[in-house]
Amino acid sequence: MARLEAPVVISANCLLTGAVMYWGPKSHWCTNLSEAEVYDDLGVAADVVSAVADPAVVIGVELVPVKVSGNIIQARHYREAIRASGPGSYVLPSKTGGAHVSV
Amino acid sequence: MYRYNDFDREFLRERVAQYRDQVARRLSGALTEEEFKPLRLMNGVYLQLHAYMLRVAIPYGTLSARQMRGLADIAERWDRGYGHFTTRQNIQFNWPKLVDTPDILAALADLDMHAIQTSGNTIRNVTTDHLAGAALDEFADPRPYAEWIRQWSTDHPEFQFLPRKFKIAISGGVSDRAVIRAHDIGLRLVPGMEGVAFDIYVGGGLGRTPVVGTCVFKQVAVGDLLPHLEAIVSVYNLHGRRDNKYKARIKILLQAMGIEAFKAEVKDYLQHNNDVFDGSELSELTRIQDDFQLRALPPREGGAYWQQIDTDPAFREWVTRNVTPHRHEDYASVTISLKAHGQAPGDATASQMRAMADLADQFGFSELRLSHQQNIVIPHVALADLPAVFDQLSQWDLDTPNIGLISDLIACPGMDYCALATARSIPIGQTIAMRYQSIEQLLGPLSIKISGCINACGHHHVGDIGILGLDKAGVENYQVTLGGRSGLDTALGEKMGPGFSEGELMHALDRLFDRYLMLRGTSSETFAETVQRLGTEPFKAALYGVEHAA
Repeated sequence: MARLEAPVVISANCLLTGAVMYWGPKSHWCTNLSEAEVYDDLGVAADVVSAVADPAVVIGVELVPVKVSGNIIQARHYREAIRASGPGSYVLPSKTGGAHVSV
Repeated sequence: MYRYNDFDREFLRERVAQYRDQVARRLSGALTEEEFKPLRLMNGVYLQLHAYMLRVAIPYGTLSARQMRGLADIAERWDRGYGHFTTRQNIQFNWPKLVDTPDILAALADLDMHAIQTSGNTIRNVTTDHLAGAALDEFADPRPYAEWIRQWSTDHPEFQFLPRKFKIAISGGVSDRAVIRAHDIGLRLVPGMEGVAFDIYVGGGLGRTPVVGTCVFKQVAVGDLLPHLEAIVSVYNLHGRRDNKYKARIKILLQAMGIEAFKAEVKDYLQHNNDVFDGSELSELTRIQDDFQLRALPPREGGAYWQQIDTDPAFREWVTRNVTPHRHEDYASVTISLKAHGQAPGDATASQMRAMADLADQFGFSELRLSHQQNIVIPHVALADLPAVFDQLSQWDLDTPNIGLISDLIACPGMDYCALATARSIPIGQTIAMRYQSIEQLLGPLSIKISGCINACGHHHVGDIGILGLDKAGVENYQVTLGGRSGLDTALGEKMGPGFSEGELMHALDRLFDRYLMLRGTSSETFAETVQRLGTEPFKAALYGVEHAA
């Protein structure tokens, strides 16, 4: 496992739906990586994790390394990129339209 | 098919009520996630990358049209309108909400289905030949024994916390279509003193340390089967390693103990489990067998079938690829490909599921099967009905004539879904299927099996071509193995060398197939036969772009 390096965002899965969540700047969980709060200090991020990891709301809270370019936040590892964008990015249309389902 | 009785139904109702209470307590905060996780896993509820996933067992791959329709209803009501059929004869729903899972399990119970023991260190879904009861080469129908084992292993009080998960497969044909030697226990029905007996293979498994199972007990009588299974699993339960999950499977124990010592311990155990098995289990087998009497199929003239074979090339091609001879000459088994080119292998929409259920009702005695190759089978279809079946399948994108060809590949969910995966496998499969569509007939029978991590759910070790996706310094990397085989002569593929990026992999496969077409002895020599004849070296050279003198 690569050593964790800042900047990072805080991510988790929603307890009710399992959906990928990010801790946002307005102190609530959001579903888009682009809306996540970015932390340049791992210590600060860890403190925030302790404060927001409410087991009645989220599970599997973790710090996720990102790259920030202007307003664009991108996951550094492809696993997190897939978590952020969802499966099926290679989906091809079916000849009957709608038969392909892996989305 | 096995018919649930009142006991079975009451058992499921109680389990659903128990689980509903567990979910309520988790949501109220009475249970922590740490306490709840093993409880949900015991009911098949995983947390994957993007959502929860519910894995539902399709015991020995057999389901009724009513059950298939019920799965379609679940997919639409509580998921995203599709299901994913797996390599272990399960169906997975990839997007259920936790709060809905008790209702889904209740709906499954109404269908006489469940998700019990589809996770955890227990005995998992017992799998078998998808052509059971229909195959020409079948010696005995394995399904009654599979159901018997299912009943013995479900909620078995001793075997809920084994060192690791435990998989059993059973086969009753001359050919092994259940990959029994890649299972913790593989059972093969053979002729015996009382009609049938079992050869018991132990210690097979793929994953991090792939091992081909060894025949440890031969000619075990039917009455001695459950005592043997109980003894084998008990010895494993006692001695299997619990300190290292990578060394916890029975294959590692068997290697560590040695086969003779293992056998001796099993035999010793057999001496004192007589009181567990008093013979009543044999009357239960008799009851089960009544539900699996081979169907008396009425004679049917071929009629329209022969006409259409002569006049319709698309129908002829589909029959050649997707239709298997049946023990009754007027019938055949139809394999419905869930591998339309570019489709995620094993996925079916709710509409497709209903279409397949309708076909089974109309033409197939309401019975369907799921193969470990992630396709659906209607086992008993009259030849005369095949034109109508083909016509209806084509309306649902289910008529792809590719069984056994390169696009009929199997792939685990990989990193598109799975929390354990180290690389994606579905997109690799989709790309391969599209890329070689135009030459797949030319390439002929060829199995590609893709796993997105070392756990090998895509069975990559036993493919003609195995592809294993790994994370190499933060980049997806795909290792290739060649020469794997499933069946009674199961062989593990040979790892070729350094892995490829996704783009490099496709170019490497281009060169590999060029080399095969150049080297094959005749146009009917399969890829596997050519690799066996010449060894892997010329193909390895092709993969890495090295010129070869052959």
